[in-house]
Amino acid sequence: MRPFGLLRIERDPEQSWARTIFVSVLAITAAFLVAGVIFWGYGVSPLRAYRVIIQDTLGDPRAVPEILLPAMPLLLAGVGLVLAFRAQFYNIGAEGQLLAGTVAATWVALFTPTPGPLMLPVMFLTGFFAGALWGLLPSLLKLRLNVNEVITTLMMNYIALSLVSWLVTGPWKGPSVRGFAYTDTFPDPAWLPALAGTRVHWPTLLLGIVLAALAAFLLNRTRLGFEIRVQGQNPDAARYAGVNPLRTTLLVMLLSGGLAGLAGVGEVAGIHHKLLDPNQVSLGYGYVAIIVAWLARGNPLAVIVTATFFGLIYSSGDVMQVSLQMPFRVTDVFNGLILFFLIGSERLLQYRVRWVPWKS
Amino acid sequence: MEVADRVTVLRKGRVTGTLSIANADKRTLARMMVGRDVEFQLPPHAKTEINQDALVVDDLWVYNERGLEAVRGVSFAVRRGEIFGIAGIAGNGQRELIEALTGLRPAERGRVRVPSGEVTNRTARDLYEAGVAHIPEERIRMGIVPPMTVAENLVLKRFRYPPFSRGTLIDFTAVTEFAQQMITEYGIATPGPRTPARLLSGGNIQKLILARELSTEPGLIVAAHPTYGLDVSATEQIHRLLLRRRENGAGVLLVSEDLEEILTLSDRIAVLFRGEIMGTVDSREVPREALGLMMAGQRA
Repeated sequence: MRPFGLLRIERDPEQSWARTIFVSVLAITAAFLVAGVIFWGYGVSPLRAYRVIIQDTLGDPRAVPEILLPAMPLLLAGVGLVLAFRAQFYNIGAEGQLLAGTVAATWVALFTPTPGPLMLPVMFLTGFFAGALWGLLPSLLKLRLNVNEVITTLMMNYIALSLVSWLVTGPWKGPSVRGFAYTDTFPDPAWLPALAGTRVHWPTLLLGIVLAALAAFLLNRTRLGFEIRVQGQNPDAARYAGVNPLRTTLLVMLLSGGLAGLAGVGEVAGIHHKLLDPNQVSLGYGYVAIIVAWLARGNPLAVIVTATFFGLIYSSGDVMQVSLQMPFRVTDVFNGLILFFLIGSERLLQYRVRWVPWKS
Repeated sequence: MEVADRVTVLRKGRVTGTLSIANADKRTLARMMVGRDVEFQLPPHAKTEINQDALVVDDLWVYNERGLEAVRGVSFAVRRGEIFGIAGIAGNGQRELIEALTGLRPAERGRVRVPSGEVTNRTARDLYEAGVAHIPEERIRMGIVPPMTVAENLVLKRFRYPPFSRGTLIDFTAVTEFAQQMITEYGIATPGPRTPARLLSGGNIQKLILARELSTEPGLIVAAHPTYGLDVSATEQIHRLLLRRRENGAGVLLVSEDLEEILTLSDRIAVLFRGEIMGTVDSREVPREALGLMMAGQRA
């Protein structure tokens, strides 16, 4: 407990949901305020900027579906990351696992004689396994040699990026137009259906929602979920209680990587219908999914909300570039600010400030 | 008692009373501190006539984190229906010994046997299934998962077995029922089974741990500093629980720095010094000075 003039800062043993939401909203508001300063620095009035953003993202019926487009991969990858974070495995490799999923899906679509009706299910399955495999090496390294998973998963992202670049410019190269390399277009059975008039490949969205519910069920109702929670909240007690850290962490990582892989399949099968330069396939989804998962505070169902929110942020980013002529990276700045304030506000969750007037 | 002239007792933020030392004895002070009578002298040991070993340790050698020998050729047996105390100043191998006996540290050499078979270097889970309970020295760091509920902590080791588990799912109704039972039976002071365990006081956390470990009626209980940091009331309750298990035929390996606790509870006492047993004595016959000498390194 620390006195601060007339205020006291003390540890708060009770952490209510209302408080958590309040603090999260506070953090995001702070991020928006700072972003407003950046707008002002570009000569755009923050008030006008936000008005335009809200108008063009939520006001225009054609624009609303665009919010869902980034939300879908963020949802899938985010649920996977929530699982990993609950087990205290800091998986920064969702980006690479997502790309592994795209590679697997492309391989199935273009280079295997999979019959039409089976094409999409097989693509999703192999995408899951590819993402899971991509997360396997870092997990083994952590469990056997205690190598920090933040670094290994991050490094695997770069390997995946290079792999995809090499594939689309080398062995899998299709027609290339003005230096953009990409593979052949997928055959029809490998195309995900979309909502009429939009690019929203709804099976992916459905998959995401179902898997979010399953993940919540896993964590709260199953033996594995119990072990994950014990392992994540107190690894010493987990050992003492006979929870096998190897098995638990491995399973969590396979699930986490697999879910990110599914996100990748959704992108190539639903939007691009081919494999492209990696930076165009994943607009940093693997990294933003980390913020999505963090904001969900360990609850897989909450990812549905946070992923949609970040879909809105992505959409706003487009508006900022198009309607306000802000530079390309402005979305990254937004995301960075939000993450910064979210992590910075963690302390506020654990402590509370009380007004204590001195009594003489 | 030796130095003060007067004594004031505080309980829950209020003064219960002030006495001069002449009028103060342990029993009165304890009653003022806790609000009820506290038993210091537990009923004399009714010698349980079971002649079977709950634990046999044979020439055990265990290394510590730095690769140095922490337990050096230790051999002893704990009989069923007996409390076997291990006395010694902290840092003489007690921690490594306990960890080797509970599946948390490998033994380099030697054998450990319990009635169901040989358990040398088996995992913590195997040992639990072999009927070995472990009350850990660090109750918050190791003994519970603080953010999880009282009920979840009570099934921390049992959640994967029926009736709490059916297939891959956990039956939380059964868990909550069991928790209610344990809360009543062991007197755990908690608003309810869904309260996060970290909100409990130290004494109640320890009671939770004991409820969990003792409820399966284990054949061997390894208790490490079980009343460390607890008040007289909780200490008394925990001593009673251990003695009751002893009466029911369990063997108890008690490791403690509190010599009085060792003397009160144990039937036999061994002293650990620099990883070796200096001697094993009967608790009723040994004078305290002899124990002190053994703790300082003199063989019996």
